[in-house]
Amino acid sequence: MKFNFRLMLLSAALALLAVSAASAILPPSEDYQPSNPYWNGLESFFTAVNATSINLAYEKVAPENSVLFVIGPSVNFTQLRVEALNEYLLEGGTLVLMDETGAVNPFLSGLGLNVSVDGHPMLDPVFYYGSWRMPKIINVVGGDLTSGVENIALSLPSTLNIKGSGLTVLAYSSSFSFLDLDGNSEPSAGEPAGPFAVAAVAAYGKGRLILFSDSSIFLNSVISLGDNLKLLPNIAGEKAVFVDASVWQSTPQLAYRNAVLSVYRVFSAPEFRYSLAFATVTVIYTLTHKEKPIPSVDEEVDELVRQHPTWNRRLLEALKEARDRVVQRG
Amino acid sequence: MKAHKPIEKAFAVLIILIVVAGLLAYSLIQLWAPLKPMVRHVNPASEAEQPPLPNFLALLVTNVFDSLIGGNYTATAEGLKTLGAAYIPERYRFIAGRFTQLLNEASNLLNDTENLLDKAEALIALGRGEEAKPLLNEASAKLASANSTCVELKSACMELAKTFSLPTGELNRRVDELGRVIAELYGRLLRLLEMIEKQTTLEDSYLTVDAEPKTVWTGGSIEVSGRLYTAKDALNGRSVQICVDGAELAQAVTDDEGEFHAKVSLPYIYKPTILVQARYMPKGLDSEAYKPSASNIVEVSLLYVKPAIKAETVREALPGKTFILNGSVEAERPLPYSAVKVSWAGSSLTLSLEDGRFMATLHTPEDIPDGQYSLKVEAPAWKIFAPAEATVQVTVQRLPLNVTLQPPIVIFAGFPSNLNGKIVYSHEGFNVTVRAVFAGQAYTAYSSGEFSVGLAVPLTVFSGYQDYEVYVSPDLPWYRSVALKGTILVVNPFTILVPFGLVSALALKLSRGKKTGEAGPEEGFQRQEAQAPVKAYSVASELEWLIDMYWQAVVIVSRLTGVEMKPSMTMREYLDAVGPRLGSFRNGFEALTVAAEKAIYSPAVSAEEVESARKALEQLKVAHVEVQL
Repeated sequence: MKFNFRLMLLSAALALLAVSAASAILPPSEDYQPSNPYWNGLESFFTAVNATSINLAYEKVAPENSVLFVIGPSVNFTQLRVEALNEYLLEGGTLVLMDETGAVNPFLSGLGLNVSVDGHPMLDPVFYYGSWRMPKIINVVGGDLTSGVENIALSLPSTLNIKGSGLTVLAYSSSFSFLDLDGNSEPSAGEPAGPFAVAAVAAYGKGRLILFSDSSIFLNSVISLGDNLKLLPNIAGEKAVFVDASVWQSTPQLAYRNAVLSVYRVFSAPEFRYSLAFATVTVIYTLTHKEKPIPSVDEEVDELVRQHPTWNRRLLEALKEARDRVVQRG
Repeated sequence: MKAHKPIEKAFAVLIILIVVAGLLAYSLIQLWAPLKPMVRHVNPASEAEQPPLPNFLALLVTNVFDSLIGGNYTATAEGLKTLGAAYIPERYRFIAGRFTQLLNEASNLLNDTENLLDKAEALIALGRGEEAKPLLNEASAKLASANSTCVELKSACMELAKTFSLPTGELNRRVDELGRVIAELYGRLLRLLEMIEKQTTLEDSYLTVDAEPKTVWTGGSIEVSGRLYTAKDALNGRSVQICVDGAELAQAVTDDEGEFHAKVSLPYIYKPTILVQARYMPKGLDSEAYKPSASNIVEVSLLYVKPAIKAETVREALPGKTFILNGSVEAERPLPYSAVKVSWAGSSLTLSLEDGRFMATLHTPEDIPDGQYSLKVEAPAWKIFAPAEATVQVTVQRLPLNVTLQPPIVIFAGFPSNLNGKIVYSHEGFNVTVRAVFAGQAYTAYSSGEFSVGLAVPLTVFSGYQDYEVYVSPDLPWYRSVALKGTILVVNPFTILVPFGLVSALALKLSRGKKTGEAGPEEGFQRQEAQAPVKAYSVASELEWLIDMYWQAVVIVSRLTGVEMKPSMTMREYLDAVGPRLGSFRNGFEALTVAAEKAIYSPAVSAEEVESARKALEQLKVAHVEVQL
């Protein structure tokens, strides 16, 4: 069997194309992804408030008429990001920070706010949704942000440690809640008991900072629990909602998917779209009007010499060349 | 070689399938099981259902019980609401629901019973025991229901304790205490019934009252007189309460005739009328002899001075600016005070009065949103002067800022462009901050009139319409910020040139390649002289045209006779094949064939042979044209 390199290349190209297409079409399953329709995605959130995913490191948003969500950051807050968020707040933007790990603490201390996210999981063995790890917040303080909200569903949250003034607590956990310091998912001796602050708001510059000690409130699987769906429009109001997507650590498959989508976006641009269409028409036209391939001189002459070994090869070649020329003309 | 093609195809398909399957499987595995360094949330659907912690749930339940036992029905209702928010597994919701329902019923019944008993007690105190009887009957029925509910509650508590592993003893104790509360209420009910029963054996007492004058200045005094008596005679030496609008203001003792007189000093009440009534509550031995009684009600009109406040604002209220408040306080008598209180935008101040007039310069906060706000002026109450109040609705509305924008129609990426605008003032000059957001970039400019924002679209932006937002924020707080939005067409010459250039080159190449193979037979005849011969075989160069001529003849002959020259045929074999069909042209084509053979095999071809070959080709061409016509 003869090895056909071109065929192999074509096969690999087709395989790559198929995988790329599958990668782009199949929704991602990573946490917080806007197009993730599974339990840990934010598809419902993005649909509910018509949110836009941005990379704050490269894109700017107008603070005057926007709400910026930073949900579950898994990368460190660089100085550039801190400055960008600080500037956003000072100029009148509404920043919503949602984190249960403490990743936002350097940023909070940078702002000079006496608040931090504890980082330890908070469980509630009385008020919850199915599991102690999903506390139900029933102590919601009244205000414009919590209008019509009686309870908030959380998923493996932490708590806020508020040490100074300047922050208004929006919601507390129940007195039965506890910080699971030893990780045994049971209230143990010495573990702090509630109520704990889980949401707070603070004025900063011309803007305001809304802080939640849980990044899961608006996940697809949590947003419909409690009054979370009422809380969201209270926060967003009539403003444009943006989500900083650059705070999430990317997995290889997500990076590949994003690369594929980037390529797709490039080819979706008008110039590429029309060029591609024109090229396709040109190629189709050319292929449909293509002449039949003419066997090479050597192949045809070889065949004749094989069948008639006594014939003169030189003469055959001359005849073939002469005939081809006439055939090409007529 | 052709025999291998199906195998090759199958092999290629197999490779494609393997590669696709491998890569897809890898991708799917990665998608389904991504690496997660930290668990930040849990999937509600996959979480195992947990019952509430017994100790904590018991605490919640006993708290509600304690509120109920303590007679705090408001706290009980709140506690039940809280208990309803606790998580109860679906399969146990009936048990918990039954418990809370019974507890709620018991709370409502006991609350109603207490209210009824209170009302009945008040009526009995006034000697209206007969009117209290129906209330006590109703209270009795409710207590019976409460008792029945308590019995059911006990069994519900047992079930709840068993289901959620709650301390049974604690709950039982609470239910027993609840039973005790019911028993206490029942005892109170019996006592009240006894009092009614006892009142039936007592003698009725009667009380009348009158007050003079019927019109009095507020804060003044009235003479109240009346008589207390029974059907048999007057009651002397008894204490009578004199109440104004239900509140006891004075007491008087009856004389030998059962009459009483008292001068009652009225408080400064600012209402048109007051109601005066006398009440008699038998005390000591009297309680064993007479029923309580209440007199008729006397209406007394009150006089007082009611000042009128007039207030108006001068100039519009603008954030960050001041406006004037003018006004006056008018009364039929000289005012005893010299100041009024003004409340505006969350703060208040005291204004002095000069001849009853006041004036103030009020400041409107910079951050107050546009809207209507109440400005309140209050005059205090002072003896016969009633308090006065006036409210002025003040509209806070920032001045409009007229901003015109001149965005460029087209911006070329990589080339600077300007977004120009102009701010039209009414009369005062000030600075504005202009912030523009375009194509993911933010721009800021400061201006006092016309402004220009330099837009620089990076080369990474593709062609198309891009949204822009412009926010104009004046430095003066009394001007309204303006937000403008629109779109600008961005043309990126680089991203346009590259694909269009490549496509154009492709089209040009394909077009040229095609043209070289598109010449027809007629065109071929015409071009034969012009085209350079291909030296691919060893024919004398000066005779190559003769070979060409032969092949032109072959084309014509094949069309005339319908016999194609097969690749395996020699010139002579083709002559033999078409000879019988050529008729009169056979000789000519034979001469042409011989001349062509000689051109190949022999370097010398005579001029006569060449000439006859040329003529033969001409004849064939003519014949071909005639056939076509």
